[in-house]
Amino acid sequence: MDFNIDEVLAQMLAAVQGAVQENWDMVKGPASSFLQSRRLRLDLLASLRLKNQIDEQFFEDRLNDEKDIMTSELHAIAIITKVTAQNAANAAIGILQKAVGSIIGHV
Amino acid sequence: MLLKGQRIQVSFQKFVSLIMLTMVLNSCSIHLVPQYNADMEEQIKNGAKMSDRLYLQMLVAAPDSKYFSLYENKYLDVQVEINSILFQDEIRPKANDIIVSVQKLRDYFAKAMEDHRNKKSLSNGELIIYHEQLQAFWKPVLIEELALKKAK
Repeated sequence: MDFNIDEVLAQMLAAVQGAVQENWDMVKGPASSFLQSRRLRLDLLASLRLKNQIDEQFFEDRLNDEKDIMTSELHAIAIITKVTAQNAANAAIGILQKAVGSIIGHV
Repeated sequence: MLLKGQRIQVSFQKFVSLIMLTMVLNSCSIHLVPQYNADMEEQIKNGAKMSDRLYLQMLVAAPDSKYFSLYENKYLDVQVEINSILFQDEIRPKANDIIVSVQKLRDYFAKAMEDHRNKKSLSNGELIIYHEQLQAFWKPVLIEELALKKAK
């Protein structure tokens, strides 16, 4: 049995594309949820300030804290992206393992 | 042109190479993130629930029942939970992103607690904002752990 490297590479590429596609929803969902929640919180902050239920200093401090929330959210997106990359890489390695394994089975 | 003995030798070398490649591939898998931990997921959900309950209790309390001294123990319970999550993450390999998120949560919670201690009592407006922002700090921490569940 021949080891066709081009065919194996094509299968590896397809596996990578499949893994990335499968995990795209993992990024899309949280990213839009973060944005939506931020919009609501900023609305709330502004409305409480306009009604004078919070003072200017508190308003500015909490507005500043939104930066830390965003930093934390970006780290969550980074984790999801790393999971996607890990899944894609391991899917490609799996294809290569299978191809080599089947050659050995035929030797 | 190869003689019969040489052909056998070349085939044997190919076979050994394939065996070695298989052994390398079998031990080769990429790890970019920590392993999923079901206990950690539970602890994060529990911590988020505790801080949710604390702020909701303070929100529904009468204005003269919002003093820091009445809630100090509950603040400490949440703080212990966050510190425990951070401590476990700090010894997890490849958990740098998660550690940053938990540190941000810990720092914010400590700041909110300190503000309450200094002012003695908080208004409903302040409690609403602290409640909302705390939930926003918990969310990425939970999302990170849930994402690890999908790692292969």
